[in-house]
Amino acid sequence: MGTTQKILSVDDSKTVRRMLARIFEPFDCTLCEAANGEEGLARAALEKPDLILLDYNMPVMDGIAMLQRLREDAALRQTPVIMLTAEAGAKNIAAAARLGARDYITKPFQDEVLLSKAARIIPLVPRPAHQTATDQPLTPSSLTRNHHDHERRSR
Amino acid sequence: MTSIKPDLELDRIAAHALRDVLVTQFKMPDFAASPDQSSSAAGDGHWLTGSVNLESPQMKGGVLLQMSEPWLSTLNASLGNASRDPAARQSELLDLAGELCNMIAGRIGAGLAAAGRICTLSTPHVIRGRPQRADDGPGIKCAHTSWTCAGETLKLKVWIK
Repeated sequence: MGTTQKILSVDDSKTVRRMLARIFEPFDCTLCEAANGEEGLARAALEKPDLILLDYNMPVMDGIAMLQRLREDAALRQTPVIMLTAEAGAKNIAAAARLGARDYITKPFQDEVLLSKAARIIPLVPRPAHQTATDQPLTPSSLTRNHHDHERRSR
Repeated sequence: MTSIKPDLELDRIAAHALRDVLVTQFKMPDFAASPDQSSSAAGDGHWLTGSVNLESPQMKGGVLLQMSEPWLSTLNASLGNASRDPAARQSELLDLAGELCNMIAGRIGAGLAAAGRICTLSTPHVIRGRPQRADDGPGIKCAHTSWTCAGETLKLKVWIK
C-alpha cells in the first residue's frame, strides 16, 4: 500500500470529468483528464495510468477507437479500462469486451458502483486526511451494486 | 418506418429516465410532476434546451430537455469546483445541460430497447432559449412532461415515429 494510484478519465463532458474527480477525491489517487480519444492516448502515454475510465461517444476519436489503439501499443496494452457511457447497446458492450475492457458502466450510475468496480482493479485507500483506524483499502464486497448494472448483466 | 405499438408507454419511459438521472447521478430527489407552464413569464434567455436524436433503420425520434438557467446553476454548484469566471461558468452550464440530456436520452433509449425499439443516440446539442413546440403530426408518438425541481420548472419532450 501507500502507492498513489493514477486514473485517467477520458470524456468529452467536463461535467462527467468533474463528477469523477469528486467521486475519487477521498482516495489516495490522482486523476488526469482528456476530452477525446486522441488526447486520451497522448495522456496515457505520458502518465502511464493504473486505470482508464473511458467514455464511448466522443468527437475526434471515440472510446472504442482509443481502446483499439491502446491494445496495439506495447507499452499501454495491459492498462485496465472501464467503459463509461450513456448508451447501453449490446453491440457497444460486445465491442468493448472484445477489446479487453475490464468493465462497462451505464450512466447514470451510483458512485458506489463505480468505486466497487475500480476497487476490483486498483487499491482504493483513503487519503491520509480521511484515514480510518483500519486503513484498509476498499474491496468490491464492501460496496453495493446498482440496479442498472444488475439489469445489464441479466440480459 | 414501422407503426408504433399502441402500448408503448412513452410517458412512463420518459418519467422514469428523468427520475433515474436526477436521483441516481445528481442526488436531487425533491422533484415532482407539475402542470405544463408553457406560458411562463420567464423570457427565452432564461432557458437552455438540450436535444439528442434517436435513430435506427426502423424509427426516428428525439429527446428535448428544457431547463432554467438558475436551476442549472444550482446543479452545477452542487458538483463542486464550479468556475468563478463568468464565461467559464456559462460553458459549464452548457456542458451540464448537454450531459443531462445525454444521460436521460440514454435511459430512454434503454426503455425503448426493452420495448423492442433499439436505437442509437446522437451527441447532445444545446441551445439557449426554447424551441417552438411542434405539433404532434400523424404517426408521431409524443410525450410532454413537466416537472418542478428546487423551485424551477423542467420540461422533457420525447417523440418517435
